[in-house]
Parts: sequence; structure tokens; C-alpha cells
Amino acid sequence: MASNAQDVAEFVDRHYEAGFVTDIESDTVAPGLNEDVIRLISAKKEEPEWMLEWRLKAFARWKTMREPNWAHVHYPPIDFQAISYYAAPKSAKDRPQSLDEVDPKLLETYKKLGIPLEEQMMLAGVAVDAVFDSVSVHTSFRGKLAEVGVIFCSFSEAVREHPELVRKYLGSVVPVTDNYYAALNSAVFSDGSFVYIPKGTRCPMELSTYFRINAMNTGQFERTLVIADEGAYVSYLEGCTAPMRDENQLHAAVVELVALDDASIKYSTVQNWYPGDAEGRGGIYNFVTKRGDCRGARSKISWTQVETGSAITWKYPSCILKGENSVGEFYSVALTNNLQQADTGTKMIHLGRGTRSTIVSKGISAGRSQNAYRGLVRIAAGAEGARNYTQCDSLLLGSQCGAHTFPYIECKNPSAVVEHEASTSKISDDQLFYLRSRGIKQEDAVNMVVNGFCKEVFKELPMEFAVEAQKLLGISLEGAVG
Amino acid sequence: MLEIKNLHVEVAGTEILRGLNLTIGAGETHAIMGPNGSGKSTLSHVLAGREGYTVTAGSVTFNGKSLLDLEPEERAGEGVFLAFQYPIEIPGVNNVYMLKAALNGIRSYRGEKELSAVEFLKVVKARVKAIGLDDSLLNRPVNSGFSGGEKKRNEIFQMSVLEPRLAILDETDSGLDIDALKTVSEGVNALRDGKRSFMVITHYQRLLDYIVPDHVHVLAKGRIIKSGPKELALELEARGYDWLLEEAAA
Amino acid sequence: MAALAMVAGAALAALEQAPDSTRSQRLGALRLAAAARVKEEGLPSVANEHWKYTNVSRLGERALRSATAGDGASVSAASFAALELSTDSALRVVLVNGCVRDDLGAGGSLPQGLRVRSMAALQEQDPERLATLLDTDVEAGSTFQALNTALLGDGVVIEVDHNVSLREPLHLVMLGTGDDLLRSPRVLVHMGRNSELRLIEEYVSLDAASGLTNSVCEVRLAVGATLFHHRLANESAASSHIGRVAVEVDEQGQYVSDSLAFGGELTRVDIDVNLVGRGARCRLNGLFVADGQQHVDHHTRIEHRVGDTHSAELYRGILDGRSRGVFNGRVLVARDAQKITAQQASNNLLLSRLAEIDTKPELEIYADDVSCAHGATVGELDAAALFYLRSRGVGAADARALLTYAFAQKIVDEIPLPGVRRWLETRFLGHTRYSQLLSALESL
Repeated sequence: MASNAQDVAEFVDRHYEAGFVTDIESDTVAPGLNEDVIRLISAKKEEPEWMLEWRLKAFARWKTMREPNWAHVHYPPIDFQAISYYAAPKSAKDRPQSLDEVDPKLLETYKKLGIPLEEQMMLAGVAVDAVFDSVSVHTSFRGKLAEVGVIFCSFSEAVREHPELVRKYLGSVVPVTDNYYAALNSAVFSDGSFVYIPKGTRCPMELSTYFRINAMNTGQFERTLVIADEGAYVSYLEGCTAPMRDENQLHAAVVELVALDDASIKYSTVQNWYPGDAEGRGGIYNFVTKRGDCRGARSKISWTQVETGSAITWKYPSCILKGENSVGEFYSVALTNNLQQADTGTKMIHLGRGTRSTIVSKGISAGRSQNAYRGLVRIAAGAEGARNYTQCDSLLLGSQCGAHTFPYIECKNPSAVVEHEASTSKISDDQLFYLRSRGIKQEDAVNMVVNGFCKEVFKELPMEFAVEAQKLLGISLEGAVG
Repeated sequence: MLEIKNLHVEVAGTEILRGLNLTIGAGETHAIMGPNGSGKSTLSHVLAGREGYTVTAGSVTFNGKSLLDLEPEERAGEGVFLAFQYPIEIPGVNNVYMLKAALNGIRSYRGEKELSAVEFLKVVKARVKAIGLDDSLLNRPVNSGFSGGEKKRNEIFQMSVLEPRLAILDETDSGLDIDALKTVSEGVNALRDGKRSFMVITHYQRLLDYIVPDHVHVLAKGRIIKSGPKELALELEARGYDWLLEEAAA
Repeated sequence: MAALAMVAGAALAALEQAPDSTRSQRLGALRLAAAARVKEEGLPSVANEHWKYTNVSRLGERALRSATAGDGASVSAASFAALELSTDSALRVVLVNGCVRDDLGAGGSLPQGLRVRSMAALQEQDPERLATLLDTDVEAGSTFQALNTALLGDGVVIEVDHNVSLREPLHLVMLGTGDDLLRSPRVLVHMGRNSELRLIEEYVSLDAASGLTNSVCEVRLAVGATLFHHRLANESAASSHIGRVAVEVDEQGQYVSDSLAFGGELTRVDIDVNLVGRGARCRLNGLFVADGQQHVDHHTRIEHRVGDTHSAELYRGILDGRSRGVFNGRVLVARDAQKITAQQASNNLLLSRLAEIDTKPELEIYADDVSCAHGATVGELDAAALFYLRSRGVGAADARALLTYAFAQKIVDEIPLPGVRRWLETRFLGHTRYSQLLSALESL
């Protein structure tokens, strides 16, 4: 019989299914970054003076900062002057009022990705705010959301129409100076989503945004701000796929979540940016800052992510557990194949009494990839009775990849209980043989075992997302078993 | 149906099977007995296609095809089923979901139409009842957290759904109390339809009180050293294996 | 420049001015390079990931003087005898402020196959030989190791011949005395094929000695050799301790370590094990107990360089007062090093509201056929167990003491040193009536 290793190798070698380029003329700013470019971005977006000042301040700070180098990833230096910092599809100038007015090419793109927009809106009741090359071109269910007072709009719109909310919360979770990429994003962010759920309101539908990177050499700097006021609940879905390109593209998003008393935010991501080809050419650099602030008592923020894409991922969705008895959760599946590198994990900062956090991380390494979990659990002196449970498992498919675990636990309160468990092992030959002896093909058997390994995370995803995630895992793993 | 000729198998450089010959006809039940380390489990693993076993000589023909050339899933497609001595736990993989993938895998191998979820569930429900399996085990991950008895019962349940042509029961009795042994045996007997063949590997005669074989073979040092009718098992129970080993050595 | 770097600078200058002071050119070059490294890099800062939780800048600022043999001259046999040590081994070698004191040692002639020599003597008699035994990689370890190398004075060279198994443990007593001294002992252990030794490396202080002990211990285990290494850092409250143990284990060799840290103001111990031959294994246990303002940091690094190597690790920390404990356990599996097992656990007990623990168990794996796991826990005493004991009539304070002792016992049980057990009993059970009970039980 053929060796498992060989089967695995074939399994890993499938192609990126979302790899195609939509030909939409872009309104792109010439590469380079200086104050003028920032003024231009701000002007194009018709921003008020305070917004421009905020950007310029961030830019000034960014110039004094240095790129972080502590992550377990390697890449050639990025020329920040070679990146274009603004691109908008031309069709965005005249906002479509209905689907019929949306650029058919854009709709086609979504269809190729298996996300028929209309169907999804109808069947799943999902409001889709599609961010295409940084500018929102389509928003749905606005009316229905408006009825209950939910604001779900593009970030630019929020700056114009809800300046008081934006000014109050922007940068309050991720300060401009937080890190190099967050500072860069603050200076040049193009657009993104803004969500505000008013007091005591349960958002009547899942909110979702599909991100895509399209125009060549255009850095994507999304900015997302989600605020759940007292007693509010919202589930936000974020998914991304990107077309195949040969040059590395930088993606440095910032996501800020704020949960006030008794509020709850569930933030789910399926990330499938272009990972580069089998030789590691091309692929997205995904340097993201995501942080949630459990500001209110009994508030809860839950991050769920399925990361299969990007050449390099540098991402630590975190929770600051400030409110008494607030809860933070992080469920993650990170899969790397070929030459992908991921350094991802979370930070749970326990400040308030009775705060609780759960971390479940599943890393899968295949090909020649490097996959690292990096997590911080910090219990401050005042976090009486805090609890953390962390489980962190790595699965290895193939002998050329790496799986790394770097958990940091800092505890200053004796009443806290912190538990961390981690394991690393290769995919079990016994399990694969068992399934095959029952008549299941090698590739399906691998998929089955890997999906089983990730089960605890998938069950945290909204149903339709979970299905997509499983599919994505299968596609990303194609060619990788052993 | 199954014809094993002069089979030699090595594990990590050590020869375990040394010229084994065995023929099993359609509808027959053969018991393979033998002392520990005689090669019983090696035989079952080689037939199912597990890695780590090197066939250095001999052949295994199953319904005219050379079994040794096939991948494990192809052997399952041909109708070979191994009930594991130690069923493997697979966390996160739903028992029924796995079984559906298996059944449809086998059906597509045979060029048959795959079953819809509804059709499949019908089959499962009928079999669950027949085998006396606890319904709740169906939706649990494969063998995860099952007791020893539950695992064995799950194996027989899978067998009843997959309807193999040849079922190999590898020490299915090990670790079972007498009640569990009875239910498992009843499940097996219900599948004896005159066409399906069984290879029952066991260390003890006890199991054969419930699953009565047509033939009994004694495997020792990698070879069948004695074959006989079902009474042979009783004799082994009474006299042990030593006399046979001496006889064979003489 | 920090004062410690100045000490190194002085050593460098001295070496440069008088290159003849050491007869081996290789040794001289090594020490020069080491001194240059200290001068250039200075002490590690908290920006360095390996020193993130331990700030040594205050250490560097202290006006320390490099100790010489003369600094310990006042230690007499009588004052030595008054020390409470972990064991009464017949084979004892005593170093005062890092310098061998033959008169305080015990044991007379050494057993066949064991050689223990003073490093100062070896530097005099056979510096070339010493140069071959020492790790010549000047970049090895932190700048503290380089500082030790630059100041290389005395220490111990232990060699065990092939096929020699020693029944009697070898007891190294590292005694510190005097104020504001920098003590730089170096220990080399070379174990021949299939040899076996139990080594106790015990750091203690006479009275209120102060300053810094900066020790380096290099261990090489040849094929099939076994070393049991009990390392005790139990110096005075005014002393700080920086120690590094670098171990290389060849085929089928076995390194079994217990690292205990009880005393000292600031303690940092690095244990670095390289498993370089198939079948090599190591077992690292550790226990640190801190109170007051103590700071105790253990860094371990186990590298599985080849396949079929195995490691197990268990560290426990008990932190009281305003103390801070740090554990960083790193397990590395090199590319293609298959069939590896590695287990690691870090359990920590916080007894005070002002104490802190930082633990970081790391796995870095570049092979696939591995089974590696680590776990870390931080917490206070188990409330259910406390309640259980109290429901049986044990007072709250006693119950806490008993459970704390039990937490440490897991490590101590594997260490055949009566003094360690005694110390812990006194420390945790001294004020309870259970100490007598326990010793009564033990004598049964």
C-alpha cells in the first residue's frame, strides 16, 4: 500500500479556491506615506477636522515606533513607502439602492466564493456589509436594524453621522500607540464597520461583513468598532477570502469592541486571505490588532476565529476584563500549510473581581509551515477570585512543519485559579487506519480527524459559519496528511 | 472466499507469521485460537491492511482479488470488516457521521448509489435495536469515553450496518463480562445468514459457546498447527496448548 | 556602565596587561573574549525575552568586589561544623567564596575511578587540559556566564571513569561569607561511559554574607552515564544567586536533576539540557519557596536534538509575602528528531495577596512524531481539602500548613537528603504540632 506520508503530501497540495481577480477599476492613490497622503485620505472621505487631527497624531507616533520582531515569524522588510494607502471602487460613488444596482462583477465574485449574497440574506437573515477594497458598497437590512435602534454602517458613515459615539469610543480600547501596526492603521485606516447596539437591545440578526483584498499593492487598513451598550447583545461575523496575487500585501486591521454592563459581544471570524502559493510566493501579511474591553459588570466578549489563510498571521484577539464578573473567551483554529507562518493567540487581562476566561486553541501545522500559539493570561492584584482555563493543542501533519506554544501566565492574586494545558502530537495513525478500515478514503479520514480535533471551536461558531469553516479546513488541508 | 497461502509477515524485522495457510468458504465461521504471541492479532491486522507489517512471502486472495494490493478502505469496499481488539477513540468525530461516511464510501466503491441521510438513519435505527446499543452512544464521538463493553458493542453495531462479506473478530471477548459477551454474540449470530463468513480470533473457548464455529484452528508460532471441528476448542480448554506445541515440535 | 561590567572590565584590563598570568593561550583568549562580551553587552535587561520577569539592573549597580581565596580565610572548621547542611556525606568538597578549602573537606582518599580537582590547581598545573574541558563557546548562556569565565579563578573539576558507579554521594558545599563579594565558582562534571554519580551542589552562607554568587556548572554525560544532581540554593537573605547548569547527554545517558531554591534575595537558575544521543533522557524537578521580598526565577531549556529522547519536568513554587516567582520551561524538538516524549508541569501556590508568579511553559517543535504536553497551574490551597481537614478537627492554620507541605512533598520525596526534608518541615510545619507527629510516623 502507498505510504501515509505520500497520501498526506498529495492531500496538502490543493489549490486556493478563492483565487481569482475581479476586474473593477480602482480609484487608487499613488504609493507612499506622508502627511499629505493622510490629508488626502481624510479629504476623500469628507472627514471632520478632529478625525484628521487624530490620524495625524497617530502618524506622528508611528514614525517614532519600530516594527515588532518578537513573533515567531520571518519575512523580508516591508517598504511602507511602496504601499498605496487608499483605493476605492469607482462604483462606490453612486451608492446602489438595491442589489440590482450593485456591480454585477462584484456579485459574481461572491458567487465564485460560494456566498450568494441574496440567498444568504434571505435564508440566514444576515445583514451583509460588504467591504470591497476598503469602501462599503452594499448594506442591507439597514431598515430592520434601525427599527430597534441598532446602528450598523461603514466607518466613514459613522464618522459623519455619529461623531459623538465615534469620538467617545475610537481608540479607547486599542490606543493609537498600542503597537506599530495599530498606529499605522490609526493614521491611514480606509474604512470598516461600525456597530452600536443600544441599551437592553438584542440585535435581531447576525451582523456580517465580508472583506476582500483586491487592488494590487493596496494595503488594507480596516477599522472596526463595535459597542454593546448596557444589557445589549450582538453576534458579529467577519469573513475574508482574497484573490490570487503574486505580491505580498499588507493587511493591518484594528478591531475594537466595547461591552458595557451586562452586554455581550460574540465576534466570529473565518479568515482565508491568500496564503501564497506552494513555494510561498505572494500571500497576505495579516498583522491585526483585535481587542475587546469588558468595561461593564457581567459583560462578556467571545472571540472565535478560524484562521486558514495569509502568508503571515500576527494576531491576538484579546479581552480586558475590567468589569466585575465579566467573561472573556477565545476559541481558535489556526491552520498553516506550505510555507505559511502564524503567530497567534490571545491575551486575557483580568482586572476585575470574579472575572473568568476560557481559551481553547487548536493549531494544525502541515507542509513546511510554522504555527505558534502565543497567549498571555494576566491576573492583576485586584482580580479577586479570577479564573482562567486554557487548553492549547497542536496537531502535526508532516515532518517538515513546526508547532510552537508560548503561553505566558502572570498571576498576582492568590485567590485566582489559572490552569493551562497543552499538547502536541502528530495525527494518529491508529485513528486514520480505523477510519480507513471502515471504508473511508484516506483524505476523508484525515479531514474527519482534523475536524474532530477542532470540534470544540467549531461549535462556538454560528451554524452557517461553522459549515463554511469546515469546508475551508478541508480545502486548506488538501494534499497534507500523514 | 478467503484464501491465505504460505503467508510470511515481519514486524520490525521479526518474522511473526511463518507460512500460514487458511481457507474460509462463504457462510463459514472459523475460530482462530492460540497462545499469546502466536500471531493472531498480526493476522487480523495484515488482513485489514494496517501499516507496519511487511509481507515477505505468500498471498491472500479474497473473492478472486489479491487483498494485499489494496488500501484499507478498498478492502472494506470489498467487504472485509475488522472488529478491533482495542477500538480506537476519535475525539470530536461523531459516531453516526463516521458510519455514514463509511457506508457511503463502501457503496460508492461498489458503484452503488449513496444513501440519503433519511435512508441511512432508517438502517441505523433498525440495527441499533437489533444490537441493543444505547441510542445515546450514536451521537457521541467515536468510542470516546465508551466503556470496554460499549466499544465492543459499537464494533458489532458498525458491522451490522456495513454488512461485510467477511467479518474478522479480533479478541472481541476480551474485557467483556458474561452479559456483555452474550449480547455481543447475539449480535454476531444475527448476522450469520449462510453467506457471510466469520473469522473469530480468541484466546478462550468461552466465546465459542456463544458463537459456535464450523472449524477451529490453532495458531502457534506463526502457523496453523492444528485444525478440527468445534470440539477441538473444548479439548483446548481442557488440556491447554502445551500438548499441541509439543506435538508440533515433535 | 554597571558595576559588574566594571568588574569584568577590570579583569579584562588585568588580562590584557599581564597576558602571562595564565599559561594557556587558549584559556587566556577565552577569558579575554568573555570579558569583552560582558563589557559590550552589559547585563541582560528586561527587554530581553529571557529576562523579562527578572530585573538584574540593581545587581549590576552594586559595588561588588571579585572574591579571592583570602576573603574566606577566617572560616574555621568549627564555624563550618556549625552549619546545617542537607546531608552528611563522607565525600565532601568545600569551597569558600568559590575557592576550594581542602582543610574543610572530608573523606580522605577518593574512591577508585573518581577524580576531584581544584580548578585553580588545574589552571596552574595543566591549563591546556582545563581549556579542553571548559565550554569554549563564549556566547553560551547569558553575560553572567561570560562574567564567570572572565573571572575564572577556582572551582571543581569532577571526572568519573568509565563503568564506575559511585555509591557514596559527592557533596559540594559552596559557602559564602563576607560582604559585597562577587563569587564565581565553576564546576565541571565529566561522566565516563556507563558511570554513575550522585552530586549534591549546595549553596549556603555563613552568617549574613552578602553579594552575588555567579556560578556555572557544566556537565557532560558519555554514553550510558547517569548523574543525579541535587542543586540547593539556600543562601542568606542579603545574597543573590545566579546559576547556570549546562548539560549534554549522550546515548542512553540519563540526567536527573532536582533544583531547589529557598534562600537569597534574588535567585536565578538556568538549567540547559541538550539530549544529543538516542535514548538519552532527563528528568528535571524543581521546588522554590519564597517569602518577604525574595525573587526566584527558574529557566529550564531542554533540547531534543535527536530522535528517541525523552524528558520529564515538574516544577513547583510556593510564594508568600511580597515574593515573586518565575518559571520558564522551554522544550525544543529539533527537525527530524522523531519518537520524542516530553512532559512538563509547573504548579504554583500563591499564599499571599502580594506575591506574584509568572510562569511560561513553552514548546517549540520541528518534528512530527512527538508526544509533548505541558501544564501549568496557579492557585491557592484547595478549599475542599482545607475544609475536609478542618471538618476532621484540624485547625485552619495547621490545615494550611499541612497542605502546603504536602504540595512541596511531591518534589522532596524523590530527594534522598534528610536536611531538605527537615528544612521544609521546620519551614511549613515548625509551628504546628504535626512536625513531631510526622517525625514519629517516619521513625516507625
